[in-house]
Amino acid sequence: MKRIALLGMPNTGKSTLFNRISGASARVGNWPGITVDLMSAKILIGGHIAELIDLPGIYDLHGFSEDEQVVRRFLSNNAVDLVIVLLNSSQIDRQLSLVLQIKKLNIPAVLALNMADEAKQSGITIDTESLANDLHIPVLSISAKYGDGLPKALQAATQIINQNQTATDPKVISQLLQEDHQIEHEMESLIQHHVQIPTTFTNNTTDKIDKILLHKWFGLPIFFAAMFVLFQFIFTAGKPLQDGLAWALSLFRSGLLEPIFVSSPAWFSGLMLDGVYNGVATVAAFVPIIVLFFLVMSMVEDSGYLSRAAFLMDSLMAKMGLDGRGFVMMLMGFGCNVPALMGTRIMRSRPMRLLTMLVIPLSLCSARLQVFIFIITALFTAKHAPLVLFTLYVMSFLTMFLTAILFQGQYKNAEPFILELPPYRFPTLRQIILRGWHEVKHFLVRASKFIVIGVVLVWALTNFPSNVPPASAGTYAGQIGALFAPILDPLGINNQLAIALIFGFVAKEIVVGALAVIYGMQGDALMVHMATQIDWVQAMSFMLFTLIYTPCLSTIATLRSEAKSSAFMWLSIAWSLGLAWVVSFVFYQGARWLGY
Amino acid sequence: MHIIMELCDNKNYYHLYFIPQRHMQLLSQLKIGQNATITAIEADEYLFHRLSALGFRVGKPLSVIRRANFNGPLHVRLGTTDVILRDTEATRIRINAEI
Repeated sequence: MKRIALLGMPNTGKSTLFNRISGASARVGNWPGITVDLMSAKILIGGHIAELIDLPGIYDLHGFSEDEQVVRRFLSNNAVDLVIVLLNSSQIDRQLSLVLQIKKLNIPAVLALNMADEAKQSGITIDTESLANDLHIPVLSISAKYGDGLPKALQAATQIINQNQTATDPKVISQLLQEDHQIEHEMESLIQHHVQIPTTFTNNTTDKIDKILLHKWFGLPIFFAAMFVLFQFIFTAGKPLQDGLAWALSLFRSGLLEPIFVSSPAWFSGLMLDGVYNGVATVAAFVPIIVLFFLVMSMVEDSGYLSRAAFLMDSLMAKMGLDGRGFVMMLMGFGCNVPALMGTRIMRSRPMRLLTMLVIPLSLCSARLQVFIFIITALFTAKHAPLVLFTLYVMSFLTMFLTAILFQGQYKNAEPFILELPPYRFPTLRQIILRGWHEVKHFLVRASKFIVIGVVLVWALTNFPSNVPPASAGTYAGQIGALFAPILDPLGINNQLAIALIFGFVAKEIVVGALAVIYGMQGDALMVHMATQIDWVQAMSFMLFTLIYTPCLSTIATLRSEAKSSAFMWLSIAWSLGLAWVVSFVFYQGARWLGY
Repeated sequence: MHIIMELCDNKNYYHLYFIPQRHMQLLSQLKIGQNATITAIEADEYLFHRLSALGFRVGKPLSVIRRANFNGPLHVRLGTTDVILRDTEATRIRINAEI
């Protein structure tokens, strides 16, 4: 019968794990070579019946305590087929030595990192895959308390059991059990390469900071001022990067691509250059801003400041039927609506969840931000630009509050509000970079999927039938625009913008790409041209409509699957369309009436 | 005299506490900066487990750090954990305030 030993440091949840795996079949027995009794159980693992033995919790295989001697004597007198080493993920930097000691004995092992949920809460990230590659043993993240990750861990154990034919030789083990000083250095190197532990401020420092940030009167104003400063930074730092990238992309087109396509049929070069390249390049130029945005947002999130925001905003939120956590989710929606919607899973009360989910799609997400930056740059001076953008953010909040207030009667809730305030933390440079890279990848994947298709479709609609000038009223796009004219004209949204809006339903990034295709230009040239086509009032009305009308297809799909209700999805769409129309109408007609 | 029943975690019996009137304070009534010990938690199962997971157990000492404006949540410290909770939840926790 195969034999598996469970080893770990004290207080790593070993007994919880043992109980979970063994169920009620554990019994106490004695073993050759040791005088104490150990718990063991027969378990079914991968088609074999194996014996699982719970070894005492020890700090050091070479230590002098009684428990440590017991473990050494057990391994020197009993063959084992596998050792499962259990560590506390939050303390991996201190505990990794144990698995290294087991490795030195050439015993087949599986490393289970317990309390994965606690490590995540402390902001610690462990790259289990790369750590496993370096250690040459499987590394799995589990939470014995909640049962997460256990099936995978048992699977890894099964694989090893089935692989190895011979168990350990106790005599060899006995010989190998010698002090090894190398382990300290090895552990340090592994931790450095595969574990990221954020700088956590002491409770004292956190208290001092909280005295300011959670101040009775200054706390809230400081929060809003901080948000304003942060987004100003994103704009000021990101803009030059974006301009540079746009310039490079347009140079690439004129210098490299146009010559390549000079001999292709007109429709093909049109499709590739004016369609695909223009559209995609215009969107791609936004990558610096998106990266900056997500870097800043994730640093704020990981630092623990958002929990403080929840504390400051909860009483205001409660008046609207939401709570402090809902506010944090709304803030996350400013990055992307999809994870914010999924984040509402932590709310147990369904009415509260639904109300929060109704509100989140109205957040000014990073995709909408791209549209706004583009249009604002084209139509407003550098002096007015930040103010206009700030106004849009304020409008986003106002529509969210309005929606909550109006619908809170429908979605009454009694969800308890208890939240932990973690000590302030600062993520490591590597965590920041990885986060930024992750967001860029995400963005590029989205770009290659929806945006290319969307842009090609827009090109097709604006260039067929081919006997009329492109993007004119005779094309399919023009005809569709004419169809919607009665609804959109009172808002100051012309036919071309209407086409961009329709495609914006799929993904907001497409709006900018669509404009590039519709006007047949990209980058600076496009901006200049747009400024001649519409005035600032029309631009503002368009932006207000884009802000509110519907979120992207991914968000709608997520809304439906999270709420498990199509009816709710339609309610959300109908409400935002209606609200968008009213807001744009009031603004546009009001501005014109005032003489602008 | 007041009888409080407290559901003990993981066990299926109740503790009966006979508590003199003067110790019948609620966490929501505790003043800023005051220290106290938890004497009982009256909550449904979900809330009880949530509170328990965050460290609210009978016998544990805690202190109130601050309260948010406009009747906002309380900021409470238990050992090394800081927690924020609304009055609705704070009234579920009975405490014995240090004078």
